[in-house]
Amino acid sequence: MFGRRATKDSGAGTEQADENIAASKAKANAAARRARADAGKPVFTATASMDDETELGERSHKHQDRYGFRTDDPSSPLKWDAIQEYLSHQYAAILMHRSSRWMHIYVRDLPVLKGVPSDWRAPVWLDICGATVFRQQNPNLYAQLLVDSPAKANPILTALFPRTFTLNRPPMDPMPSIQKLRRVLVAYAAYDPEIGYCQGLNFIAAMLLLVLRDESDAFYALTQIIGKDAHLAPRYHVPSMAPLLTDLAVAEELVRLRYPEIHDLFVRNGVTLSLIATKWFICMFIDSTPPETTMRIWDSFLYEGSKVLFRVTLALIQIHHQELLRAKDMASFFNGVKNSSLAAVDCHHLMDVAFNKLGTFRRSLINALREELAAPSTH
Amino acid sequence: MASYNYSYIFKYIIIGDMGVGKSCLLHQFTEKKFLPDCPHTIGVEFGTRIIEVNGQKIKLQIWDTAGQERFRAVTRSYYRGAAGALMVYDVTRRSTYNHLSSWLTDARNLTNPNTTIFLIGNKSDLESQRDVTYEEAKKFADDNGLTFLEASAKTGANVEESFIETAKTIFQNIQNGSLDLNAAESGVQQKTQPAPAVDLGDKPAANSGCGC
Repeated sequence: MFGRRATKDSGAGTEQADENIAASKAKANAAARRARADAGKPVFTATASMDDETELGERSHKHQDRYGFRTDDPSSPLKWDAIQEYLSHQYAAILMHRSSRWMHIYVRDLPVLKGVPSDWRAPVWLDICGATVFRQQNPNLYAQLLVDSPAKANPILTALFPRTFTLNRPPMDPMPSIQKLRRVLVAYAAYDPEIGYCQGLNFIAAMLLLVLRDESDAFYALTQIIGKDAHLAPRYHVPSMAPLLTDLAVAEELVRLRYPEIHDLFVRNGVTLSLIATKWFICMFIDSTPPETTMRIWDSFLYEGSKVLFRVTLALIQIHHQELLRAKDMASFFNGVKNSSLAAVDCHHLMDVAFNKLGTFRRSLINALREELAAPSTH
Repeated sequence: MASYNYSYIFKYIIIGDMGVGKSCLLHQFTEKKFLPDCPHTIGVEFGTRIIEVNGQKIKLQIWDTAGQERFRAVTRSYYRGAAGALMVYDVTRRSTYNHLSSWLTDARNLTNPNTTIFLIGNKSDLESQRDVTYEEAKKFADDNGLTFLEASAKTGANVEESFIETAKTIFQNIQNGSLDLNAAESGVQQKTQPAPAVDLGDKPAANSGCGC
């Protein structure tokens, strides 16, 4: 199961894929060794390994979920009761099982598709996306960028930071995290002037900060996710947005091929999937799905790349297929598609549909469609 | 669902620079509430409300677009078939006013000639931070044949008026014949008869040429 899924976007051929697998395994092994050796950075301890079971739902009486998202925000469209219910019962059993196997499997096989236990997320994410290696090669990059591009940053950034995270109030203590977020994005804009700042990057950087905690780690991870040499996804955030338009067209075509009756409904209602999926792809499902679901998608996305975005998109359509067919007008159809991601509380089921029930999903098909449907890169 | 409780659907778009308050205007209009720190719009969002103009119930279908320049690559395709375009700037930030001609060019090029374009100077409650005078914007609006109001998504001032005045103009254009309902992409759909029973195999006639 491992080899079939482990290719990255840049590696179309199998040789390349094998190299990627080998590289990923090496990275994983190194991470596991480091995690065990690095006593100063308590990544995995006997007690902490039980976090999944003990922490879930524990903070609910403080009106926060385990990640610090507010669960009592009346403007949040999420069904927090259902989320808490799922996490503390059904999902807790899944996590218990996962935790018991994780330590042992991680070193051997990197089963990120089953979800990464939360204590492992920071080192695992950094490793599988390539940030650990990139940081070793460029240890001073982040600090240098901050020195070179002090607060003269884009004034728009300053105004927009409170507007990160729509489903929830900003997690963690607002001020320190907003300053960290600003620094990460300012450094990123200096590192990658072609993209600079694009709306949506604030969500990605905030999620990385939330999981990785350390702002320089968040920066290095960002370079591996959207940077010039990143292999996880095409450059969706460049000013022309051509790579985004291409992948949205590919997603629509995949829907047409797999669910022609749903595609008909898009056409008949005069709307397109890309209208909704723009946010899914630009933010890689951050802020479109409940937090635990976002984490599960990212566990896979950081390893497999943009193919995961297509899989999750199709899984959402698949799960809501019958309901969408019953939509009586444009608004209910549009909202049905849009809310399918918000309703993805059962993250285990979503990932099961995306990776098992959807069946074979060839990267070569995506690449062929990308070529066929490529959007012009001028704007 | 035996019959529609409105006679027309009008499609609107809301355009303008990022941070001018497009989503907050929409939220204030549909929910009658101010949403502080309203989230970024990535791509396009959608809201509806039924209003009454000259005794006719009209359903407004409002598409709220991302303001950042590069997102126009995505949002442009939703300009098509809009009956009304609300073009928004922020009275406290001159740069957002200076960009209006570029937004106007896009709106004129990508909508139909009868699209009603309404100019809104938002954040009129922040008088002490004002950077664009009413008179200057009014002249710009007059020069370009736009209706203009200053509004505040925060206090709600002139928000209803902006959306409803736009609908009145569109309705007038329908009545005097300058807006052809049968034209493709007029942005207006007339609901003259009860909705057909849901039959997905059969395309309802009322939806043809729909601007939704």
